[in-house]
Order: sequence, then structure tokens, then C-alpha cells
Amino acid sequence: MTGCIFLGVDGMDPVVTERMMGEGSLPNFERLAQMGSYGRLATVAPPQSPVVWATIATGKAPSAHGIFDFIHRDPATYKPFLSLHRQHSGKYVNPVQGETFWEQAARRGEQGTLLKWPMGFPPRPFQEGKLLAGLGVPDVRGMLGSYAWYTTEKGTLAPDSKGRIVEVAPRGGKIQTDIAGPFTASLIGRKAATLPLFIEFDEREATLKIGRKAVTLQVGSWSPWIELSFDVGFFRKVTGVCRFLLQQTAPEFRLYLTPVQVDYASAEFPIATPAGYATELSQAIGPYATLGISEDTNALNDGVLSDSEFVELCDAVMAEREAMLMHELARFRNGLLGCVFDTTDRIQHMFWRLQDGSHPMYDAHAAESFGDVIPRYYRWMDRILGEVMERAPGGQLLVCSDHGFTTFRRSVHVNAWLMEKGYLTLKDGVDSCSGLFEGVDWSATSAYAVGFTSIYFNVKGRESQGIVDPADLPALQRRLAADLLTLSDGDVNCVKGCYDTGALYGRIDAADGPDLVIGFADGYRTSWQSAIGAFGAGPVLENNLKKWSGDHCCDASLVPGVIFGSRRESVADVATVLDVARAIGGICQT
Amino acid sequence: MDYLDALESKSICVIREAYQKFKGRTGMLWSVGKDSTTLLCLVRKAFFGKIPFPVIHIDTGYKFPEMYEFRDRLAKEWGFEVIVARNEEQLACGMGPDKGAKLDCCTELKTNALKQLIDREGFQAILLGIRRDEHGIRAKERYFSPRDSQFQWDYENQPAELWDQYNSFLNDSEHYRVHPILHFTELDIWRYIRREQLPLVDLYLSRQGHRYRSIGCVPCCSPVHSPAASIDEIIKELQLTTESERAGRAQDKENLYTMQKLRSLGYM
Repeated sequence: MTGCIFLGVDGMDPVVTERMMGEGSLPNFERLAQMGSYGRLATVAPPQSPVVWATIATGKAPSAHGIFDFIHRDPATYKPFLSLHRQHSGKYVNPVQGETFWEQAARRGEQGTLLKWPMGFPPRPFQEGKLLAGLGVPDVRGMLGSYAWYTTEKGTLAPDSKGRIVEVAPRGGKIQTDIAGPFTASLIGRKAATLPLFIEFDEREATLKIGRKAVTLQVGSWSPWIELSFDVGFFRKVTGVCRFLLQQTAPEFRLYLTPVQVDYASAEFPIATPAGYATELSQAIGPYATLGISEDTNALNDGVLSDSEFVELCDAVMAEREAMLMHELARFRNGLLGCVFDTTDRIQHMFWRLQDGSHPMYDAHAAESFGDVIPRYYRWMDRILGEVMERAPGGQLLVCSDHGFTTFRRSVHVNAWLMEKGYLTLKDGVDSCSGLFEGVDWSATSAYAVGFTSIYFNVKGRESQGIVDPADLPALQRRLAADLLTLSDGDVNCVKGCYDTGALYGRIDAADGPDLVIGFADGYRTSWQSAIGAFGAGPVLENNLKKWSGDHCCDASLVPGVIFGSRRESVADVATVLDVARAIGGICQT
Repeated sequence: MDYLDALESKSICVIREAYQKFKGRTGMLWSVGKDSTTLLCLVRKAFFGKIPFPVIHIDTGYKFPEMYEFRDRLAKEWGFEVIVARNEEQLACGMGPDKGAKLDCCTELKTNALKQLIDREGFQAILLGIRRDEHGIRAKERYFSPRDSQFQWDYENQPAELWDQYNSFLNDSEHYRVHPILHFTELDIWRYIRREQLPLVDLYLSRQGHRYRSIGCVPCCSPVHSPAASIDEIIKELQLTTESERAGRAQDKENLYTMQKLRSLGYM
């Protein structure tokens, strides 16, 4: 066998990796390092998954591939939007610009298969190649994941929970409710298509009836993947797949439903190229999660899933990914095979609190049961690596991560800080903004922060109500960057660096990219409110009281990734994520 | 005949046609806004001062207090009965615009509240005060618009209404939405209100430089900048405006969707 096998491990951190290799608990990674090479891999600023994976795929800086943050803004309306989804004439189009390494390889006649590639949605067809999209694939509601929870006890939930919380009123052990599906256009705007859901339960089990389908679940068990078909009017149907978890039936009823994920053959949401590839995989390995972020971090954050239920869900996703890779590996002869594992990222986001004794959400009791979850996933990756090395002895192997990880203890309301410093002004009589920058007086605003690391100036000719003269931009950038570096939390600096994107990336497209990229210090991150233009007068810094406790949206120098290669010479000149695409291209050619 | 008389006659013709056809199975929706209040006045004219069928108000529980007060006052003054339809089950569960999935609020509190009422009371024709110029999709409406038992409206399958021949035949388990003021524009409504001196919720008139152009639930309506404090001034303003009537409302809905979509990202 010849060819190149690429394994992407989202969020694999060098500090954790090196410690565990030192302890001898990652024998296969260690073997790979000795046989070939291992190194820390510098990442790009900002170290956010969509940005870095687009860089790994294209070998280009954000200014060239066009992804600068999870969240961009429309200069005409100032409204934030997800950079993962771009629509053109009602259809999704892939937002990443530039030729990817697998497209280049295909041009040279190398066959490629890419599994769960981040920012691959919707996939662009390439010659004789197969690609299943990962991060970025929406659910049937067009969201990044909106779960539903059917319960008799809503009271304990946070008021801003993100799923659909359905308070049910059982009558004699029976519940009549519904499943919300895709939004359809209607007279009153968007409306959700629904499917009736009928539940009959006793203390031990429940039977769920959806149309002609019926499934019986024991308390504490997950359903298999269930196919649903929603009528969206005009003889059109949208199909999806989902799983239920019957958490308990007494004394309170609790039933969790995963986000309804797009079906393998969906025409509205194409997740694979060629079109039949997703179905082919489901026939080979059984049904699997299609959603980009199928580990439901929202449900864990909201308290709908417990730690152990979330881990069960993650285990299933990881096992599906492993099965996919093994299926392709069995028929891999030459060319290129790539697979990205991102459950490692989600697990670290949610469980970092248990390995950081200073985190506000540290819980010694939970640490006893779940303190080992992160190392367990590293060991799981190691086992998969061992399997790959054994089954593909002739192939060249390259393993890398997009960034490392660190703790996230304190939230920074960047827009509140901009307001405090006089860069951002609210209209008269408005004292706070609940999101999307509503109520901002643009005629008196020179800068605003969007997403997790981006600051934009309100530039004349670019923003619709711009007031900053383009000639004054460099001076203003310097002034704001210097101001931001003084932001402190007691005697600790919250910001490590603030970078002018012109200097960072060279050339920048005038309309899209931010003017400054913030590099937070260890433990700090933009608050979620600030990321979507919600802010008010009040404290700029706040404790992070969510289970989402590990992060990497800080200064790129603090969270390098890792790179392993089975031949030292192939990865000798790979210093940053910008070099990975070239290295893979080189391996494919030899 | 005067221009407003012509509009009025056409509406009265549709109202009488509907009642002649469906008699006791007829009802009308009254949102307490300017359009359905105009419709209410036309119904009174059509039946010489009486309203021969029930007037239904769908109460989401989130309407402006001024609207509830006006509803009760006018019902008393004009002497008609109001059936208040509420989706009690959902309201008891705390359904509202602040609930997790905000977009489900309208469906539950408006559409399903009406669905429940139609099921209960067996209405076959519901009169509504919607107008063609309100919204793009409403331009496709007919005076008699059939809905199936699932409340679905198939706009590609509805007979043309040529030479005022209205299609008012009905299959079982269907009902008709009847739109007697479909041909009025926003400006016509205000001119008619002025001529007939109709009573109105005063939210439409400017207070401290702001007024509502379209009213509904408090959380989903925002006022527009306008100094128009009288009906004459509103008419003058509308002759010049380029903003759409429902701008203050539709926007909100899209914003809710945008927020929900952004927040579905785990980092939020």
C-alpha cells in the first residue's frame, strides 16, 4: 500500500499529549514520534476551528480563504451571522475560498476520500473524490443543533436554554405532543413543520409513536437512529434522523431528543460528494450522526443532559467516526485518506473544569467520576492510531490538530469595554442591547466587536453608517490595540496581544475581515453575549459559570497544536498549520 | 359613486355572500387593530347596525393593555359579543416570546388557538381583515380562500375569481378564510376611518415622536419615528413614506431567528 493517511484530531493539546506520552499512556503516538517525528504545531490567529481547518485545507491565511471567526458581520446592517453557513439564491454554498489539498491532488490524478471534514459543507465535487462534511453541517432547522426536551419539570432550567423545552402534561400515562422540524415560509413568517409524537409510559419504560413507527425504550436507554419525514408543503418533504434518550418517567417525566439531523440523501442539505456517498456509508456502517457538532454541548450546558449522558452521546459519535475510518481503510490502496475526529474538542470544552482546580465550575465530586474523560479520549485516539498503523503499513501517516486547549475561567464583555472607553455608543435613552447591536448609535460609534476575537471599525464607505475616515484607520487601530492591552483583571492582564490584521495576514479583503484580532491571555475569552452584539453598562469581566469550561479562542501562541509524521523528512519543514496542505501534497506526489 | 363608496360596496357584497352561504357557521376575527375594526364597521353596515355572527378575538396574553381596554369598551358600545380564544394549555406552560424556541410562540398562541376554536365551534367561514398590500404573500390571496383540515393553504390550487364570481363551495372538513377588505390599501383604510370617524386604539397616534403603524403583541412590535398625532397627519405621512407597514414587525421575527441560529453554536 502507498499513499497518505491524514488524521485530524480537533483540539489535541501538546501539553496533555506530552504529559501522557511521558506517562506511557499513548504508546502508539510515542511509537509514531520515534519512528518519524513529533512537534508542536503553531496555529494561526485567531485559533478558532473554522479558521484553522480552512487554513489546513487550503494552506492559506484567513485573508485568502475568507474565514476570520465563527461569526462575521454584514457591513450594511452590522448584523452578526455564522461564517459556517453561506447562502446564495436560497442554496447553501461552501464559504471557504481557494483550492484545497485534496482538490490539488485530484487534479494530479490522486484519488481522495475525506471523512467529516470541517467547513466542508456543502461539499464541492472533485474528481473521483469522496467527501463527507463535518463541522458546519446544520440540523433540519438550519441551526447548528437545536435539541428538544419533553418534561414535566421545566422549573429547574436556565431561562435562556437553547433547545425547545416542551412542558408536557401526561394524562393516565399518555402524552400527546409533537416534534418540531424544518421551518417553512408561511403567512406569518417562519413556521415550524411538526410531526405528532404520542408517548405511553409506565415506571420502567415508554413507547414512542411517530406516525406508523413505534419504539419502546427502557428508562435510561437511547433509541436507535429514527428516520423522520416532515411535510413542508407544496408536495415537498424533508427527512431527518434523530435519537431519543428516555431519562426517567417517574416522579418526573424527562425525554431528550437530539437535534433532528439531516438525512443522508437530503437534497436541501447536501452533506457529501458524490451525492450518494453519505447513504453508501450508512449502508456500510449503519446510521450515524450527520450534524457538524453532533455532541450536544448545548444540552449539557443547559442542564438537560447530565455529564454521564453527554459522555454516552460522545462515545457513540466517536465510535461511529472510528467505524467510518475503518471501513474506508479496509479498501484504501493509494491516494489520500483523511478523517477528522472532533469529539476530542467537545470533550475538552465541556470537561476542562474538572482538571482545573481554580475553575469556578470545578467540582471535586464530579472530578472523581469524570476527571478521566479527557485522558480517556486521548487514549481512544491512540488506540485508533495503533489500528491504522497496523492496517496500513505502507502508507505515510500524518496526524495533526488545529489548536491546543486551555482553561476558560473569565468572560470578557468586549463591547461593554468598548462602550466604557467611548468607542461604542448607545442611542439616547437606551442603556443596554439584547443582541445584534440593536440600539447602537452608529453616528457616534467608531469600533465594535463581533464574534470571539474580531474588532471592526465603523469605516466610511465600508460600513453603511461609517464615521471613521479610512485614512485615520491605522492610528485608531494602534490606539485601540494599546488600550486593550491595558485591560486587566485585578493585577492580571486579560489580553496578551491585539493584532492589526494587515500586519498579521498581509493583504486583507476590505469588506470581510476584521481590523483587529484579539489574543486573550490564558483563562480569558470573549463572553457569548458580546460575540453576538449583546451588552450593557456593567462589569466588563465575569466568572464563566457554564460547563463549557475549556477553550482556545485566546492568543494563538498559547494554544499550539501537535503534528506527528511517520517520515521525518515529510514533515521536517512543517512549522505552522499553513504548511500542512503543502506537506500532504508532497507526500501524495512521492 | 365616490371612491371610498366603491371600496365599501365591494366589501359589503363579499360579507353578505359569505353570510348567505354559511349562516350560523360564520365568524369573524377581530384583532382590535385598525383593519379588523374597519371590517367590523363594514359588517355593521352590511346588516344595518347588527353583527349577526360571533366576533372572535385571539388573545395571546401579550397584547398591549390599551388593546384589551379598547376591545371591552367597543363591544359594550356597539353591543356585540366577543369570543376570546386562548391556547390555555400553552399559556399555562409559560409559552411566550421569551421561551427557548421563540419562533414557536406565534404558532402556538395564534394559529393553534384558532384551530382549537374552529374545531370546537365548527366554523366554516372566518372573516379576516387582511389586505393585499400588507405583505408579498398576501397578494396571492383570494376573497374566498379555502383551507384544509390541516390549516394548509395551497395557493397554487385555488380558482380564479373573475367578474366577482366567488368560489364558496366547500368540501367536508374544510373551512374558508373570507377577506372582505382585501382590496383596501393602508391609505384607503385611514381615509375610510377618517370619513366614518371610527374609534381606534390610540397607539396609532404619535406620542413623543413615536407611533405604532401596526399593532399586535407587545414584545414583537416596535414603534416608528413619526410626529403624526392625528388621522389627517397619518394620511399625509403615508402619502410620502417609503417604509413598509409591517417593517416594525417582520424585522423582529427575522431577528429572533438570527439570534436563535447564532446561539445554537455551543460557544454561546
